[in-house]
Amino acid sequence: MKTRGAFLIYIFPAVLVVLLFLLYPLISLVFYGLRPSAEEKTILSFANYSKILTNRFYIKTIIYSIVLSLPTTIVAVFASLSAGWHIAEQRTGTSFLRTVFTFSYAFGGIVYGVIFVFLFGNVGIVSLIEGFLTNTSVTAGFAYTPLGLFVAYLIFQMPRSALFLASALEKMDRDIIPSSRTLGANKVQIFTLVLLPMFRKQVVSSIILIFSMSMASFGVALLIAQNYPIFTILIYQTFSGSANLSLAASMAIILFLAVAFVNMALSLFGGSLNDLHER
Amino acid sequence: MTFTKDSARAGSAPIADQGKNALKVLSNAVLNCFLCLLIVLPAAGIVLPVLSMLVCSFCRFWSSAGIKGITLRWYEEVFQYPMFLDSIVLSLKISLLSVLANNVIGLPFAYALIRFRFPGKNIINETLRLPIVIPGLVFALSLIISFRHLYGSWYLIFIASVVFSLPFYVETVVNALRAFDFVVLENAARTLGAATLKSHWLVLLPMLRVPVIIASATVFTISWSEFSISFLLASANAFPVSGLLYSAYTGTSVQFSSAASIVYVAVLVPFLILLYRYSGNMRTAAKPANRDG
Repeated sequence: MKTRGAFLIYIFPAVLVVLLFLLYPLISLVFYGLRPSAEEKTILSFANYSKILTNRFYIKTIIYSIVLSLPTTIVAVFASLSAGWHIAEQRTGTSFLRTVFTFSYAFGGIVYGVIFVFLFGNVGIVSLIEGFLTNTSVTAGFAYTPLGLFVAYLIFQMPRSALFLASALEKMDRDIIPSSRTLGANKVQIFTLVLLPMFRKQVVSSIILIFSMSMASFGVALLIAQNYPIFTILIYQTFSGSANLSLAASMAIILFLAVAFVNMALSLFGGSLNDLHER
Repeated sequence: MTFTKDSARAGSAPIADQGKNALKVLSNAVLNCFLCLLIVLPAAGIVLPVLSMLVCSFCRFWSSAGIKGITLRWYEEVFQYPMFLDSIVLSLKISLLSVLANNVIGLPFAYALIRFRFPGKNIINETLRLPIVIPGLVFALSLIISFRHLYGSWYLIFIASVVFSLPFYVETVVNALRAFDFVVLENAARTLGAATLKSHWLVLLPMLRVPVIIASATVFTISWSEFSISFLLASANAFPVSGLLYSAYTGTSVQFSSAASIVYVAVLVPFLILLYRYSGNMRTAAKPANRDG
């Protein structure tokens, strides 16, 4: 007794929520950024966009954000292959690693910032150990240097990337590794000739996902990036400090476009976000 | 002549092999150490700071001059801090309501995604998954712009939290539904005379118990720990706990912020344990179906 329209009952609430609270706001955001100022007589105005795209400081901040996020993401994803593999193979300590990494996932950006201050801040673990061993204080305040920011991003990205890779690797046929070992390949050969071609899609997809997260991340940078310009923080300052909502809206669109552009460029290497979600 | 040559070769070969082997073993050991380090370091990067946070929250003094004394003072102060309890209650309310809303909205949708064929399915699903790639800041700004009159109340934070966690909920349930062959069971129930609602209640929901628990715990974790959206939407009337943590970090002592973070993390612990316990179950349950497919 199935009617053809039965699916409507099931999808109606979700469709309503998506239309009203996701699509409508995003479209209004686009138009809000294009809103003309009082003097202009046109319907749409690109004044905000030309202001952002011709201003050296804004451009520099976008580039600096990408320069921070992209290399750290690539290093983090490759470095976490080991942990991802370990989890996927369910070796010793898998459950511990999974729990710890899930925990890290649950700490919003802000707690991550504090965690990093506890590691490399003025009274961080590293500087305490250093002081105890050599009575110096070279590492104190490392968290607040640009290099510290890079390391902070790495630490923030690695557990997430390891979990993504693990769930992707779990679904794959990994029996090929023992076979290639039997055929005489050494570890480096297995990695470069067997694993990398096999996992290229998963690796690229993880890079895309982690890069998007890093570009959007806000809490870590808010706490420790002191002199390093970051675009999300600039948007926040435009919104809360100078209360220029229209400019902030255009900046948000530009951030989204910048992320989408880099992601598209990355997906040329194979892989997309969908690969991580589909079974 | 050939005999001596052969014997010489036979004698020298094992020595060269031994050298090669030693080198191989050594390089293997170095590689293994490096790979282990790559596993241990990120874990240590989380465990050590959290432990030191825990220690610090009980310390009387924590500075470069030294670490001294044990006290409960910071926890007392945290609970007396203006708005701390309010924030915790507000965030709990928002997170629990998000779990409820996700179950009402996401469960039927996930079911429809697998059960029915309908026009525009992919477009709707892709739109629903937009929050995964859209920076939280962008989403928060768009909500502020379109619902100006709601800005400042907790409704907007709640709405954001639902929309933001919905794709994760749907994905978990959809993956579970793909793993079970529930259509056969449902048809069997219908053949035996169960109406649609009855078969949902007696067949589908019991099967989906574990995935729904996992998805709900995920939603709670996401909406409890989300920072950028709730920080932007926060106001004096509705100040979620992650915003409060930020003001603690920037405006109070290290010990105080540690104690506040420990309380914040402590709320998450039961949900993470739930996630951890059941995620193993789901994997083992999903495996046989995977192999067949």
